[in-house]
Amino acid sequence: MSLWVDKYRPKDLSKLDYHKEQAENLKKLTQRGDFPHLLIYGPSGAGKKTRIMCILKDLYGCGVERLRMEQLNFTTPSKKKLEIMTVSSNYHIEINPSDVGMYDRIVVMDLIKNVAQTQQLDVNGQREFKVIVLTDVDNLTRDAQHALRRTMEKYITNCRLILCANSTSRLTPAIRSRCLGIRVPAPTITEISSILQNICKKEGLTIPSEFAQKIAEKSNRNVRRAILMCEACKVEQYPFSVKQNIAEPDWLMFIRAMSRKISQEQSVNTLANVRGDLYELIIHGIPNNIIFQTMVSELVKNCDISLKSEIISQAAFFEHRLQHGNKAIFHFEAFVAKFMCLYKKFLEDTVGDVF
Amino acid sequence: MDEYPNAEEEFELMYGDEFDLIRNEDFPDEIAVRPQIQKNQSNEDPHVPVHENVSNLDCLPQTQTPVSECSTSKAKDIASAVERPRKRTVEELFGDIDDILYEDDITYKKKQKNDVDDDYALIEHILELRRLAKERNNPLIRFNKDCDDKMHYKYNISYEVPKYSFTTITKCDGERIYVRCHSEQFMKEESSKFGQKSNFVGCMGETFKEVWKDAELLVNKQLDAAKKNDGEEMEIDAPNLTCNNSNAQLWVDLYKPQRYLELLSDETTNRILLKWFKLWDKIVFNRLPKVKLKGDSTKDSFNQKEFHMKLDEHGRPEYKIVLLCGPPGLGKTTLAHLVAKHAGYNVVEVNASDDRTTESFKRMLENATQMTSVIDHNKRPNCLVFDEIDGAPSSSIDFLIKYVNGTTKKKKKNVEAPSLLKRPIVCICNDVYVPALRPLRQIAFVITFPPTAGVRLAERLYEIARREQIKADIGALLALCEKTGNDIRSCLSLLHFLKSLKKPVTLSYVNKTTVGQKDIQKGLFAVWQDIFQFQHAKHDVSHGVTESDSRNIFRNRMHKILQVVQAFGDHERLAQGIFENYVSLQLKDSSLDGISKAMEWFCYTDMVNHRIYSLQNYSLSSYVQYAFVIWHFLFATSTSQKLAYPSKGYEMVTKDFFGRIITKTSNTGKTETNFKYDVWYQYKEGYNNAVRKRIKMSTLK
Repeated sequence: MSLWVDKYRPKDLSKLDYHKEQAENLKKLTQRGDFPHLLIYGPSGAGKKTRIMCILKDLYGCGVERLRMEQLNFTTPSKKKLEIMTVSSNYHIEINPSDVGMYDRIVVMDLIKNVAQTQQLDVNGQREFKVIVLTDVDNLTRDAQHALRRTMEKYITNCRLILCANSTSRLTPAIRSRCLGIRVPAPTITEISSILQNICKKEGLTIPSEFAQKIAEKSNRNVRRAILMCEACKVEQYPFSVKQNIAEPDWLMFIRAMSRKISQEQSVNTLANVRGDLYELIIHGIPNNIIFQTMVSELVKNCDISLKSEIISQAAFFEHRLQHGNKAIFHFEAFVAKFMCLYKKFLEDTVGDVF
Repeated sequence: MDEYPNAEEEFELMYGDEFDLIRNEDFPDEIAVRPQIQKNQSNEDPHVPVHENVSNLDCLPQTQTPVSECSTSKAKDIASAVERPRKRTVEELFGDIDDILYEDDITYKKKQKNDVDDDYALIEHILELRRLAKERNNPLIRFNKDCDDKMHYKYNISYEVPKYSFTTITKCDGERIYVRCHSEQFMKEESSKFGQKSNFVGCMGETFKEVWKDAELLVNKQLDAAKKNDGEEMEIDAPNLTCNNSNAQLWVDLYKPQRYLELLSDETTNRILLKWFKLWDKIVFNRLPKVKLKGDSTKDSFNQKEFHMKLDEHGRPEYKIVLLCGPPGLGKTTLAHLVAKHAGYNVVEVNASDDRTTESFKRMLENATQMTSVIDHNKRPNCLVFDEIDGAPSSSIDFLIKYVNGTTKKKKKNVEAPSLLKRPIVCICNDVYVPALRPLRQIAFVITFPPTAGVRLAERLYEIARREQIKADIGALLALCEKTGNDIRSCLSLLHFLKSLKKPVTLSYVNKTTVGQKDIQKGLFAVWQDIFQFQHAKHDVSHGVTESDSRNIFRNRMHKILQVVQAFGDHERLAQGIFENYVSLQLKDSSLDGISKAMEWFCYTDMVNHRIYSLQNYSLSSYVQYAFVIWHFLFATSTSQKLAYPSKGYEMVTKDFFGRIITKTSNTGKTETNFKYDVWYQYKEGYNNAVRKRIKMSTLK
């Protein structure tokens, strides 16, 4: 028993629901038996990982589906012991180097090099190279990216890298130029709703097309989220009704409530309150940029246009600083304080004008 | 004068001498009759001497003539005494008053000592006993005895050239009298003794006390004057010194307390340590009388309440080791040495300058605890003092602990226990929370040193300054004490320094920033307190002063914060503490301007820290501390703030690591989460935990 997302994940390039043309191209790419390093990028929930797995299956056959999880240990030069989880089959290994934070350079240097250096033992295997899948590449530190650059060139005979990222903007041009970039755009809303309907048909459920459409809209063009939401709705209430409440992700509601708090009262107490909320968000692994985006869009909703531009520029300023810093909470709180300060001033000014 | 009185007798005789000189009591004619008077009515009529005193006041002069007059009459008296035949029996003497006997004894002995030597010894013994008994019953007798002027004439005035140092007085008729001279020290002791004795009323009443007081004042004045000239000390038992040799020795050593009473450290601390040392008496000096032990054990039961000090089955204190801890310059080492010496031990010190590997540690421990010094004729038992133990390697400390504990185990197994610890061990450290000391802390009796009382320290400094002829006023010294944090060592070093510069200690000099400042690392909370609170005194000064002054105050505050922060070093933890504490302060910042500014500085420090750690470029860290100045000016209030340790950030970090992979409910253990891992892992990227609460695993299965 698994989630619908896993259950109905297309296993083959030919079975993909959308971006069919791109799938054709990928098929052609793998048919040659060889391919360059790939950089697959696109918004989350667009199907990047699905495509990567399809490519691997196309290359190696069903063997790649037998996955095992391994915990790899390594020590930093400062004798700190780190461990990282990898998912691997006989033919590929999947690593998320940003799991270890600022030590990702060591992961790149040690682990990837190790894998890359070992030759394929299985002579009968179809391919003479292994595939390393690196996820969350845009979270790699600059050092790690530099380290990666050389590895990519040096061990090209033994391994291929498939990098998976949300955006190429944080990758150095050197990395980008070494890879074949493949963009996976988010599916359209109609595509998502048809996927949902398909899944429901396979599950033996009936879903009103309006409802599927509604979920698709709510999902923000994120297929995974759409499927999960659909499943959640089914757990909550079946048969589906069009007016049924669609559960939104709780973090979204959480940020919304927080933003409301901020615009309601501007004081030190609220700041302390909000800090707890922010901690909560960070603890649960909501990415910083998502928090920032959602928060700003919520805050700006009930602002005057002149204030809006000011706040957005401030948000950009603090988010930029966050990228340079370590502790997100400082930057979030700094932004909240700044917002409160500006908002209060604006309110006072307008109230002053009225009288 | 062949039979010279022993020290004690002489003491008393001299005391009488003093007494008379001061009271002007010695009336020549009276003396001859004195024995009889005393015999019969000394107790009944103690006021007689006063009358005499009054009547003879005018004839008691410092000039030579009256003295010689006295002497003449005295001499006559002596002569008569000598002529008087000695016929008393022991029985008679028993009924007699001892002072007469003394007088008689001596004259008697002079002539016929060969005859009655044995008898005399017996008499003397019995009389001595009787005298003591009498004294016990009635102290007045002793007083009177002491008043007796006869003896001291005998011993201090002579017609022949005496053995003792003397001055000569020539009478008008050419007769020469020799008057004894005493050392100043002797006089002093005598007079002080006299002062003590004069405490009881009844003999002379208030008038006598007044006279005595005046006399004492006079004597003190003279003594002071004398002291200034020759640098001789009286009140403080510091070693004699003259200005010449002062350069050879550090003043810290020079003016080290020599007696328990002179210790500057907190009295309760001293007492606790001393009591602990006394607890060792049973095992170390087991020849001590039973009474003493009893006293100890009662003290013990009393101590139990206070310090949990009791003896174990070997008669040793429960805590074998004392750990003295406190900042430098409080006198920890001095206290340990002095108290150990006071309790009768020979101190063996091991400090950071010695080799402290486990090997040498072992050797030292065994040497000190199991052997005694052969050369030292005192044969005092050893007491180990491990100074600066916080710097010792942890293996050595472990060995020490094993030595203290492990041997007791051995004792239980084997009957014979040659290595049972039988000597007290004192460890001294500055920072008790050094990781290496953790095991020691558990088995040791930890005494934390409270800071020295500033006033006492200033008084001592004043005394020293006076003796070293440095101009100093007590105010400046108090300021110095405050500035150095009551660090005796640095205060003395500064005084020494000033002495060599021949500069006076003034308040303005002390207030200069460069003086007496130490690079002290304050505790975490103290630093936070410094940042969140500014000093009242400075605040008060800023009232109604000129602009430049207030600017000065701001500058001082900035300097102080910079210094404190720089000394502390761990900027990240400090910043975290400020970040987590500032929201709980009652800040009056309605516009939130200040807070947003402060927050920007938090961002700044975070960025700098990130740079430092990612590039290992520690030269940037000098810029971080300026943020603390900003926070200080934004957040500081005049009232003391309740601060909490910042734990939230740390909790956040630990949760963050697991929180990404593990659901929130299971963040306690790693093991139970492993089976969920594969599911969560795949949804990690992007909106990793977005679906966490809505879809329950159990409902799906």
